[in-house]
Amino acid sequence: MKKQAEQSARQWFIKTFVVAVGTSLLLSACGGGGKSGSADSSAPTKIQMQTLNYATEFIDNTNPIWKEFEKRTNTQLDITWLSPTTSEEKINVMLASGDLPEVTFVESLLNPQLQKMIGQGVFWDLTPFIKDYPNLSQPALAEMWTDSKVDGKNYSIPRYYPSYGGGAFPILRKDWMDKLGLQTPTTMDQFFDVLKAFKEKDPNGNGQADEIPYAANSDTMGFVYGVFNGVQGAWKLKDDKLVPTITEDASRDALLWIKKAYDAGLFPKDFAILKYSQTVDLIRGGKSGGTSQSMNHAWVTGSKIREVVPTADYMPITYLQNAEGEKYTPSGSPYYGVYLIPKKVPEAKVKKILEFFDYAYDKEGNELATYGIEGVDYTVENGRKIPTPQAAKDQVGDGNMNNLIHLISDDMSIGAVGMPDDVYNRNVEIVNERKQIKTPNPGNELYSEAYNKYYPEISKKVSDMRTKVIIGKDTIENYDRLIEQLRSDPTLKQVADEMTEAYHKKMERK
Amino acid sequence: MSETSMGGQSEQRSAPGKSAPLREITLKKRRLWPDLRRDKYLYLLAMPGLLFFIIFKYIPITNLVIGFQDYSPYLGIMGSKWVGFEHFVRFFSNPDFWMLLRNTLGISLMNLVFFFPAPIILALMMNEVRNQIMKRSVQSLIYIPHFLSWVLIYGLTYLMFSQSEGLINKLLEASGKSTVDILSNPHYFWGMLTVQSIWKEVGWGTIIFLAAIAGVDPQQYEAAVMDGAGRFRRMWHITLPAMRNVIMILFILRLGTIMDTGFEQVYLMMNAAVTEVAEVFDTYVYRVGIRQGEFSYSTAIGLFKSVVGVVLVVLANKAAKRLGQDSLY
Amino acid sequence: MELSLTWKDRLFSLSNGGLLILFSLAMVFPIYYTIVLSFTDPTEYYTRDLILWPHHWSLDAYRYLLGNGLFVNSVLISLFLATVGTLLSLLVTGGLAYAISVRRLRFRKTMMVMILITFLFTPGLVPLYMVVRNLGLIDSVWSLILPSLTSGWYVLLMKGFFDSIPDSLEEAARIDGCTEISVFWRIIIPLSLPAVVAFGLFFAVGYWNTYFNAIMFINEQNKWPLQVLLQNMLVDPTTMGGGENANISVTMNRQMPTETLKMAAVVIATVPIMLVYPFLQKHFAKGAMVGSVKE
Repeated sequence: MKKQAEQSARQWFIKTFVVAVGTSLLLSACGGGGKSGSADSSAPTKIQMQTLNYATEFIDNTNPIWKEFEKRTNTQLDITWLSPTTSEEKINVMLASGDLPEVTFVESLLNPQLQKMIGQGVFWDLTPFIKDYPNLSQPALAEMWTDSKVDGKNYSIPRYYPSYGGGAFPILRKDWMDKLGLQTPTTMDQFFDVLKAFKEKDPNGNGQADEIPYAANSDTMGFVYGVFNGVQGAWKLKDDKLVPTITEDASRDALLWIKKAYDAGLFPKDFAILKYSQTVDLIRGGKSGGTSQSMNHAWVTGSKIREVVPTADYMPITYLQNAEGEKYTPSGSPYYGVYLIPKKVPEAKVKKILEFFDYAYDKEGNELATYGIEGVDYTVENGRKIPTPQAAKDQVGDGNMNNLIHLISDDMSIGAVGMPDDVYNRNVEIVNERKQIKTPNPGNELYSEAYNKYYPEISKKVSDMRTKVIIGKDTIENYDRLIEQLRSDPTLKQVADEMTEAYHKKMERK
Repeated sequence: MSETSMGGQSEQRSAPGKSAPLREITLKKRRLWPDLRRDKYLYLLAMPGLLFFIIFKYIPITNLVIGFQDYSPYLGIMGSKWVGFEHFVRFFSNPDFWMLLRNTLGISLMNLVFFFPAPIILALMMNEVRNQIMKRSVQSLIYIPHFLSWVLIYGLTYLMFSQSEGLINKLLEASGKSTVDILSNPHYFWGMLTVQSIWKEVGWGTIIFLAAIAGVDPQQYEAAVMDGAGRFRRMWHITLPAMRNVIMILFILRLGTIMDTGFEQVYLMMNAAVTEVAEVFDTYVYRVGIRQGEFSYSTAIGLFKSVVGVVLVVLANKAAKRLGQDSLY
Repeated sequence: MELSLTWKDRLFSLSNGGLLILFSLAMVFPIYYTIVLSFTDPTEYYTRDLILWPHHWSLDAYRYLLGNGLFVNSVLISLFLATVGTLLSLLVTGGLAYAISVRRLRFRKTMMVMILITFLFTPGLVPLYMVVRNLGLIDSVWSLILPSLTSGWYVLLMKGFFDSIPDSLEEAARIDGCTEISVFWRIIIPLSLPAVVAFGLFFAVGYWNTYFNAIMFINEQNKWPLQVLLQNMLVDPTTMGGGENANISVTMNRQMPTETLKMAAVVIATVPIMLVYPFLQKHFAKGAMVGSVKE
């Protein structure tokens, strides 16, 4: 008996071992391909870079568009794509380990670790070089360069992203509004009434009050605080000083508005626990009258609703205004994410890298990244670019090369693959209207050490308290007590003082 | 323990000489080499494991010194400024410290009281099943949840318990009762975590106990039956003692990880309404350390956690020894 | 043990069995639900409230996934990890555990202490990253195996099993002139087969579920193990990200896969590792027999 068991065990081991080794050989065969290169001066420059990629499938150096970029810029690209799900952790760990690629992507200049490192001189100051590159210094990008300055210097190559059209702001079911004879809301009261009508007047016409007027969660209602305060971001200018909006009375009013809407059943009951993708699921299923998204979702999400409700029309609203008549629409600095070059890269190569980006910001390079190769991936008809079947094979479109460098156009935030003309033209109209609205953002791109250290904790406390008040797990009195306490909090005061100082410095430079 | 008796034997065997101090040293040396040579294959077997511990545990552990520094990746460990216990002071004086400690210990204790014994009880129950087909199918079914990742379990929890989509609330609504919020209620949070852990791991946890039970000599049961022992007495006097060794070791190890709470699980289940009872050391370290990039500060917190773990294990092991139970070392 | 059953015994068996069956059903329901959703037509999923049995069955989700090169590739990677990794883990863990279970071994206590210390101090993520990078393992599948070969936990538990094997057997083998390696291979391993199988399964599941190390150490998408791909499908970046960039992330044209597709991916990710179990269950039983025959 024992022997038998022993034998079968051995057989089992042998079997497993053979399978294991076999598989390992197979896999290592495809995993090989070491990196070799020569240091010839006329040979292509090797550039190591790393960036976010929203595509579901990442391309590699066998992709035609990638190759085309290498050919046209005489480079050999070594791009590491980061998946957005995990990029934040990964970038932070890379920063902390000092393991930086020649072109390092960071999502936000406000990243505290990054700011420390800039202060320690880890990265090249690119200010003196930029003017030598015609495309980088083109007027369309001027604001991008100014806004991304740190202490008056450009340490990074920003990745362009239009100021308007992005950000979480209401998109509503226009077909529902039309059916109930409602106007597009422009004030918070009207907005409330529209949602209330969605709830009570059965816009989907199935005879049941099963509509969820607005697929909100605690993250996507931030715009309400912006509307009530009349500012973008977390800071307000008062008597030439920056004050945090979290302690303002206007924020209390905003909170009460959200609470009123929640109590009236205009939001999902699971407001506090829903994740963003779950709110989008509600919208997609045709059950909900709207949610907060950027304008391109008029089609990205809108097309999904049409699969369920063919007549659905998903329309971004232009702005909302507060009681003082101040209009609010989301806007930001004209870039999203920055590229930095560590000092370990020699100056000659820095110039090569800038050359690469100069090409990428050129009209030709820009279009190559976004649309692919003319005649192969798209053809031009009446001035519009029509993608060919090859475009899908080359993975042109959302993600990949077009995540490395963005198209210098509003289409980045308002367009989407396959968007019909009527939706697109309406988006253009809306975004042009939005551009007339200048909501102040005094705290934009200001850096303070105290802010990095203390502010995230404070703001988290407040936002947790807000959520609890909204869903009735805590009282407004306790909220008031917390705010009262924060108003006299020495650390918050220190943060505000440093921010004010940074603000004045920035103003002087301008 | 038996170790010393072994040592004694070898001393007798290989120490024929008189006990002059100088000679003893050379003798010890001479004794060492033959021993090493005799056991060369054993060392060979141990080698990969030891190398693993040195490379992937000890070398990174030396980096824990950054907990006493203002670490900057640019300056490296050698160049970064030493700040002593500054990070520890900052952590202990943070009013949130007590909240974190309470939540961590609360969740761990819930696990220790309800989750730890669950697989033991289940294993005992399964051991009493005579029908082999049923035993096997039950076994196969209860193992399944172990293979699911936490993200998926979060999704399933939402499908079951959420207020608008949850099955339970839909049933409540259908029977004319009002719905309950389970997921955003601070009172239910710890319980929810415990239920999830039990659901996911209880079946899987029985493996180790069933393996221990399998080692019991069937003759023992037969003898007990002859003596007229009932089921519960057999369970108590034969099955349980057979598991004692494993239970004890697992218990001591679990004490050592009392400061750890499944990060992914808590992080996914956390929402603004329950932060007060949900924020634990692990989520705090993640948020402050990785997301806000305060590596020195979060390392200091990690160190604090480890020290508490070590102390607990040493104490538990002492207690186990004193009670005459099997101990860890 | 063919003995007459008392009514008490019967009642016990009945309620014990009943409880177990109820319990297993509760365990299984959510899984049933997942499987049903994976076969449901996406439109039906979004329009119907509660689906316990789909009106329209659909294989689209599976067809899509199995036709997706990246997905199939990640399954292969995970299979590699689960086989090679498990094997290496068993060898490394077993070797060390056996060595320290031999009482006469010199430095045994030192090794024990060394192991104990490591399992209590968790090195941070950043130091580990630096070690892996310095070994040149970034973007290599070995970075998913080597750093997680074993743990103090496993070594000590396995040592516990080896301790329960009577020394007399080993002594007899040694007297027969076996080297320690053949003692280990021919006596110890077969005798602790239930333990070896159980540990093998522990390791296999661990490797199959490798996730966190993979997101840190693997950049190239074609070396992603299954769980990373799965997580990428299941979790939206904004929930994990949040903060300053949340608003902008929302704006990116990222299409989340449909719910039914997610569920199908989960089923595919779960089934292979579950299938391992019945295969091993046989060995559990055999191992148990060996255990009962010994001495």
